[in-house]
Amino acid sequence: MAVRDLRTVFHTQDGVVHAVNGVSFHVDEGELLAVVGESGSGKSVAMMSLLKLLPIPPAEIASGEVIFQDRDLVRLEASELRQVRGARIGFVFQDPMTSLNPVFSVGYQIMEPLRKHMGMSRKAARQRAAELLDLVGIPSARDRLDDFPHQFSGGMRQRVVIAIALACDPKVLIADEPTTALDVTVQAQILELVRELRRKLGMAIVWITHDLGVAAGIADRIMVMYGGQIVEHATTADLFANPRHPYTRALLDSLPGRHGRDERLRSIGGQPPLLMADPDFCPFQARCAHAFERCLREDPPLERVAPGHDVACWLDVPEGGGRRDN
Amino acid sequence: MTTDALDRPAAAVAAAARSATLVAVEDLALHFPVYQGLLRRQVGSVRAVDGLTFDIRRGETLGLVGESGCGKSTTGRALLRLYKPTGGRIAFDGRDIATLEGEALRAMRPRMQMIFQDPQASLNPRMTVGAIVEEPLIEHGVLRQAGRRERVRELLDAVGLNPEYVNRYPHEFSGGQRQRIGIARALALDPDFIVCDEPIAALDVSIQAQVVNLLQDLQRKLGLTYLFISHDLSMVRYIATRVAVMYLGRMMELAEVHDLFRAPKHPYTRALLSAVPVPDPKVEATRQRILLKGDIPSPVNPPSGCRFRTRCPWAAEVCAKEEPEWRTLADGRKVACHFAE
Repeated sequence: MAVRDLRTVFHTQDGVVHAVNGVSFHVDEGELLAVVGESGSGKSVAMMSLLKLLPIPPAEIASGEVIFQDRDLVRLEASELRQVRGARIGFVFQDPMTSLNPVFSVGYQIMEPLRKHMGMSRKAARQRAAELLDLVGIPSARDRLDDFPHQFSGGMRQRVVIAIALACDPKVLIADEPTTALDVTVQAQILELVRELRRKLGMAIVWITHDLGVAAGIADRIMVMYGGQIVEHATTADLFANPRHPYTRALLDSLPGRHGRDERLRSIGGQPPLLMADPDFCPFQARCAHAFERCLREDPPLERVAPGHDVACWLDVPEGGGRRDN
Repeated sequence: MTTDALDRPAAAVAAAARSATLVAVEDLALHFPVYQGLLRRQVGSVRAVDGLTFDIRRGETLGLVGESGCGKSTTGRALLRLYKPTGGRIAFDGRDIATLEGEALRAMRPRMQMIFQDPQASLNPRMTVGAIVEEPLIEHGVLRQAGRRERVRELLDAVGLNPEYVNRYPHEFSGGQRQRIGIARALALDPDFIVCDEPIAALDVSIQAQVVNLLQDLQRKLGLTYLFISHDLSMVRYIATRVAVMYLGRMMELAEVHDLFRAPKHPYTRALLSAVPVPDPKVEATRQRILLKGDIPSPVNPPSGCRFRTRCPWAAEVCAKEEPEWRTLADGRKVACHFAE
């Protein structure tokens, strides 16, 4: 899947909010791409835009293309798009309780996409649903098909949601903060499950998270978003060893445990911007310790600075991050 | 930021240093009844907190960690007597408050305060910031009107908010600023002890650091004692002096922060620490994880013996029969496990 120059805006009473401003990326088969950013950075909106999972209006996909299997998803008719959603591309959301329907059994909800998209008979779908529950690690899967979502715990519910997303053997799985609502020990179980599923199924995964620790543990590549733009993109090892954008560096520095207990945590002052217009400045300039005059005038494009490493910053950050002052 | 205006008289600080323990908890229990059926008969109880013994030292930050439903928030609220304990004693500065009622309890309230998780929900949207911070002063009859106004401005300044904002409403502030308002309110009555219940869980990473730095500055300046309830172990490791680990209403381990993180003794502590993602791909690629099976059992009907045994990778026969004693090891830490050595 390849995304080029995606722009999403929201028409609100107070004006037009530019939530996603020219996002381009690609994700390959068998790869896990993590999208990291704070709330309001546009990471969820960008990924929801791919399948038009936003209320339109007020949202509007102003420009861009999403090429998936030689088709541009942005230009597809609603009925064609429906054949892609849940079939070729699966979605997992943050809160499993709100993404499952409380009045239908878990089995029914897994069978629904199988019957709609793959035209399976009831019997075959039921068989496959049991296999899927087993695949995501739910004990005595067959007996639990007729249970309702409230009869499962939080971690088990998220496994059910993953089973539904995997039902039609998707090529791409988009997971929006799938472990944020879970406890750490349960999160560890789900992360282990995802590692195992990747080995078995080999689909591409886009994993949205605000937790750099989670991204470090599972991602092949990481994309850092801020103010509706990608500010840095690199392989996981490279991003942590050699962060180049001031925002990425400040974000890593603000984590406890990167320095001693006696040191103060390095916070990033100020607030993320509310973008009411297409930015003609760097979105991070107001909070950036290195901002200079050009950052106020022009929005830096995402440029390749090293093999597989892109940064959107006017500063020529020296290799290895020699200047660490914020 | 200046906190000078909040400095206490030296005599008060000296007097407060009498005993090293500020809060001593003994066998604290809090059970919520469960009603069922047409006649709403009590059929059981949720044993949210079930026999805790620990103390909080003056001036320290005691981290309290555990998964959702383990009873950590209930413990914090019980210490402040927002709930009436089912059993046990809570000695606050030498005085048992577990059974206090009415005016006697009210007189103790200014000394212990709380900072809540969700600043949005804990601030009244129809009150100005000034009115929110002033309310505890009015409620407890501290100062006259002019003095209260001055105090509100001092407090806002102390938490890093512009004192000119007194007439604004909570919705005009960001999440981090709202949490500062909550902190100013908690400080209004000059407390000794503050329960911080997940104070940073609702904030973004870059804002969390601002709030944690503020809490630490205030602690140094005012000699505050914190109970820091959190599920974020990396932040607890940074801020806490000692850490207590809870599971299903009981304490599993309590130790100095370095000891706990370097050499956890209880199997649950080990599993919990190994589950925390580390923001370093090299560490993540090589570390050993202890994956727990299943979920936390129901606190209505906890397992016999050791509560953790149903998920413990090292559980033996004795664990189902005997509840492990809350004992002190050679290095001073407390642990409830038959096989802690």
